[in-house]
Order: sequence, then structure tokens, then C-alpha cells
Amino acid sequence: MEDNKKIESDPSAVLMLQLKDGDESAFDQLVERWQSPLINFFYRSLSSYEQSEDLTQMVFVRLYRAASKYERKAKFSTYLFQIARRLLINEFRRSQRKPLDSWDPSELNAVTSGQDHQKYSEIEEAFEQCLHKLPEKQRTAILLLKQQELSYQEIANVMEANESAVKTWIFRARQFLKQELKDLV
Amino acid sequence: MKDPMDIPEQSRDPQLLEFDKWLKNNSIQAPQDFLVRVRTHLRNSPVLLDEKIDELFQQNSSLSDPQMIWKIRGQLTETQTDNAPVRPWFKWLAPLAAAATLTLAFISFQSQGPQVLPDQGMENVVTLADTPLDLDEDMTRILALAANLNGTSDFSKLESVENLSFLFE
Repeated sequence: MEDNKKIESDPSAVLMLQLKDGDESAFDQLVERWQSPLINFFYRSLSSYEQSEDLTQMVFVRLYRAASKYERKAKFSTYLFQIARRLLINEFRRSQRKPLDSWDPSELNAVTSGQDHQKYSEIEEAFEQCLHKLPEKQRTAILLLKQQELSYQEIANVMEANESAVKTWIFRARQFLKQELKDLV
Repeated sequence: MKDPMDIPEQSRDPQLLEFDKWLKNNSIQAPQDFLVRVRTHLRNSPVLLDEKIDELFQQNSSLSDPQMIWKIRGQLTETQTDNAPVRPWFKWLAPLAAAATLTLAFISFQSQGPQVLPDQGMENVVTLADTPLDLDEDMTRILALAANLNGTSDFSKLESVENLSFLFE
């Protein structure tokens, strides 16, 4: 009974179970529902439209292929962003081959596509630089909290950490950002 | 008691408020034909090694240490790009290592799992049998490396697949 209530409040999990049962249209709805949150999550992490689109596609490919084994253990967004984060980390590793915490996305994008050159205001550029200065864990945690509006517990599930670690990452990120941004706005 | 990590005064900072607003602004849109692209990608792209590694480790959260996965991934991708001939001993060692890992995983599952009544035991066995591991060549190599790591407490000691020789010591 409790499980039924939980699943009804998570329509994407219902769609995933429908996909597991062979309903292809459920996959189309999942893509429709999640493409924008995912591409924006990747874009804020990488600042490259092309890479963000590629990674978003890969998330859906993995989701589709994993459907037959899907079991609803957590909220669907947690499951989805866990896949997204794994792909993001793989991408960091592949691109840099150096410790993740010293990774700076701006180094990756010496050559960027047209859509990357959208007219950014000075303040937006500063925000982007500040975000990219954060270590991966702090950056991802704050993106999941503020951009995707996940709870601390959900972020902990996505990042395979405990809730207090997530709180610490967010606390440190916000302290750093506060310091970096104090003369900007 | 108030959680010191929850600091509402910070969220009242105008700078941070602006920053949060910027983070939430989902200005990037996927292309119109995005679904078609995903479907094409699904049809045309084979299952990648990366995908297999992530899938394997997702099945067991105790094996999801990012450092370990990274080293395994590094090992596998390096040996793939090297085109180096596979050492003859690896061909028969890998399945042995895979079997050792599965045995360890089974023992671990048995010892950590909750006690079950005898009539529930068979049900659990059936549940496990529903998701058999597909042990192709790549998976066997992943498991072999995982077995290697399982034998050491310090994951950073993994330098090469030759470390697998510990199984025979």
C-alpha cells in the first residue's frame, strides 16, 4: 500500500516500469520529461553544448538498456542522476587523466560550438568561473540541490555518500562562493 | 538542535541569491529532433565497456568505490588501446578469478544478509537466479580485476593485471 502511494507520486518511475514491460512510448515520455534537466545539468558542469547533448543522449541510452533490470528502490530522479554523474565523471577522467578535484571545465573547451558562445553577461561569466573552481563533489552537490531541487538525502543517494558529507560539501561550496562573489553583485 | 550546516543567513546573501537564480535558469534546450537522435544512437551504438563496468558495479554498492572503478576502467581501456597480445596465462586465469569473485560475493551475501526462515530461502534463490551475470570476455576481465582488488585492502596498490598472480600464492 505504502509502496503504491510512493510510486504514484513518482510518475517517471511508473513510466520506467512501463518501459520495462515493453511500452516503448513510455521511453519517449521519459526523454521528453528529462531531456531539459539533464542537458542543463551537464551544461553547467561542462560549459559545452555538444558534450552536454552527447552525455544526455548517453544517459537515455543507458536508461533504455537498463530498463529490463529496473527495480524501484529510490526516487526516479535519484536513479537518473546517478547514471548522469557516472557519465560525467567518466568524461572528466577521459578528458583530463588527472585527479578529479583539480579538473577545470574551462580547459576542456578551448574549442566550443556556436551555442557555447551565447552572449553571457559579465556576471554570468563570473558565476560560471566560480562554479568551475569548485571541486567536482561540491559542484555536483550544489547543482543537484539548487538546479535540480533534490533533497540532501536524494543527493546523498546520487553521489553514493552519506547525508552529512553532502551537507559539508554544500556548506563549503557556499562559503567559497560567498567569498568569490562578494564584490560582484 | 540546529544543524550548523544549514545556514539560512547565507541564503539571504544577494550574491548567493543571484547565483542560485542563475543556476536554476535552464536556458539550454535540447534540439527538436532529440528523441530521434537518441533512438538512432540506441540502434547504432554497441554496449560500451564503460557501460558494462558501471552496470556491474551498480549491482553491488560495496564495490562502487570510485577510485577502484577508475583504476579498473583505466586498466581495461589501456589494455584495449595497447593492442598488446593477451598473455596466455590470462585466458585461463581470468575465469578462475571471476569464479573466486562470485564465490566471495556469495559468501559475503550469505553472511551479511538477514536471517531467513527455511521456507523463504528458496524464494531468495529464485530471485537471484532472475538476474544472472552475463559473463562475456569483457565482464570476465572486469571481474578478474575486481577479484584482484578484493584481495588487497589498499586499492591504490593495483598496478597491473599481473597482480592477479596473488591468487596462486
